[in-house]
Amino acid sequence: MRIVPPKQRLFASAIGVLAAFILENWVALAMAWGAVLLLLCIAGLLGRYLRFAVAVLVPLAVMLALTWGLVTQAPPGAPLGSDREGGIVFAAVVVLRVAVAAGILQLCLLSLPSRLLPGMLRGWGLRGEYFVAALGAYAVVPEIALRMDQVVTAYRARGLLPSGRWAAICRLPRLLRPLFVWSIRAAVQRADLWQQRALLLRAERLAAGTSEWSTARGILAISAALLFLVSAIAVRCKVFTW
Amino acid sequence: MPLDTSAPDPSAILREGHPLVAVDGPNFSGRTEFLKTFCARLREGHIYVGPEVYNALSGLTSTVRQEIELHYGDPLLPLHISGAVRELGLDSLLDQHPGTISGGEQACLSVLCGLALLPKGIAIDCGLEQLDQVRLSQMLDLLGRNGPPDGALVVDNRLHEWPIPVPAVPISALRRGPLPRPPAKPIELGSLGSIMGCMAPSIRIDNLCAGYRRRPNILRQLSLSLKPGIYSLSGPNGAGKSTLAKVLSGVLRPTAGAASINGKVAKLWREPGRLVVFGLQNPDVSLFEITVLDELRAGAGTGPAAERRVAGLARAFGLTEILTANPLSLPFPIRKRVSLAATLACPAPWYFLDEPALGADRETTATLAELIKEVAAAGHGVIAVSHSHFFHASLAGIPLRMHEGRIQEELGCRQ
Repeated sequence: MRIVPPKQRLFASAIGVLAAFILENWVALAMAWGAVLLLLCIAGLLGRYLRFAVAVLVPLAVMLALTWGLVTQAPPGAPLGSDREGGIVFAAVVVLRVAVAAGILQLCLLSLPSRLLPGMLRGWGLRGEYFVAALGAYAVVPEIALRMDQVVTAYRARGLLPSGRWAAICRLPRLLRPLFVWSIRAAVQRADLWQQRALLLRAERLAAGTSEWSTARGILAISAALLFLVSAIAVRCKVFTW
Repeated sequence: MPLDTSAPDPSAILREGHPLVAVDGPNFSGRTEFLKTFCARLREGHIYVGPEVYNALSGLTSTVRQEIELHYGDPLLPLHISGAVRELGLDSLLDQHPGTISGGEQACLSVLCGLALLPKGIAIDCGLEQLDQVRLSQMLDLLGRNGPPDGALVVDNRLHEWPIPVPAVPISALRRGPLPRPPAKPIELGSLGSIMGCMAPSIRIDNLCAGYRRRPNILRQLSLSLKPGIYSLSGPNGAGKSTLAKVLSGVLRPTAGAASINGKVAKLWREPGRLVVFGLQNPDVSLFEITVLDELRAGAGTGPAAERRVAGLARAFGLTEILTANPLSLPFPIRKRVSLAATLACPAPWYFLDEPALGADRETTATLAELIKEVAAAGHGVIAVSHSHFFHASLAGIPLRMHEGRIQEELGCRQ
């Protein structure tokens, strides 16, 4: 299946994020969030987004609701204790903006099949070392997760780490050291490897060979993003009201 | 390393029509330096694949398919590379992360990626030792038929076990001057009995199933009964040997099945590393401390008995002169030796040793087997995994073979 080209993907998501930050009406933001959730569901990314929501958005929402709804009991700029409801609405707006923006960025970055990642980065104008750094940044999280798993396995295999997540958390500083040493060591070895095998040039060549982009889908994505932006400006200027 | 220009040139043998030439010699005889020098300085366009197979991968990709494509530089792989992917059995792993496949499969992938670069020649330094006999035959066949135009130069400690004989040039003929001094003393036999000793219990596992999120069915209703002694476990790459080690050591919780110790039901995952200590195949992920001494002390516990055990193991493994060295700064065979000593320093009744002789030459392999026999003679149970027939023959343990997640056959009982 052909997909949204890199530049259009970048512009559409930038416009979408801008629109989310222009909106300051929580009802409109909630509707936008619903639309983003629907798109994430269609793209098969809802599970990953919900994990992000549980890990980041829920704690953020609780913290902001406590700060503005319970402690200051007023939105920024208002006297303390003057508008409890306004404080909670402010917290909701901040959380919804982050939720919408994060959803749009996940749609932009994670909906791409990983084989097309080099093509997207190259399409964004990244070349040479910047290109490899961006490509490496994508691979680094699963790589570190994998190596962390190996370190924990090796510790437990020698009986140095009792079972359970809490035990691992308590010994985190001890577990981080081999991870840090490995990172440095792997970086040096891989720098040599990339140079010896000219992997930078090969990665760029691989990226240049991609031809699965669809201009029509790109135009559709930008149109949808522009529609969202115009709607956000209209709501902000109170052309529409709830 | 100074090369002897009057010595027989391996590339001359390669030019005579042999697609594969081995450089033969013991550990620390300069074989690795020869290969590196050969590739980097003397022969432009030659690729070196080292023994640390995982680090021979780019770290830029998240699937096996992407890794091969990246090395070739195009998603449309040439026929001989895509054919090799199928021949080596990697086609079923194309969507896996390169770090989650087994050690032997990683070794195949690293050589295949080297070939995907379409080099003039390839030098493989101990990278084939982790392959089972079938994969090794396939790989040698592949290098013979579709290898680089200048051929392949290989260093391997299992040359004498290869299914296909290849011409070998002794390293002594290729280098000048005296041999470099080995970084560690030789292994010392006869001292482990006094510092190690226990009465290992018998273990029984019934209908065990275990696996990982992306490969859930690695062990399939595996049943096994282990009495104290030595077991020689073999089997093809990806058969589930390391997964069995993880389950027995309590690192991985099985999805089904039961284990019992001396007839009592046991939940091994509740106390990992207590009954069975697992010595991992890759030493680089199992060395954490700043010095060799700290590494040995890490699992040994405290008190005079622990100190005696550490000192005894250091002496037995020939590590006394490098106790203050950083383990990761040592050459691969010594790192593997430190990792093995650190595993045995943990006072447990059973040891599961994954490829304990990896990177060791024939003489050291035989000595390591004798050392493991001493551990078993002291009352411990030992399960040793290897693809080397020579190692298994030297160990003379009870042979066990795994295939597709099950113990295929118990080939006989010598105890």
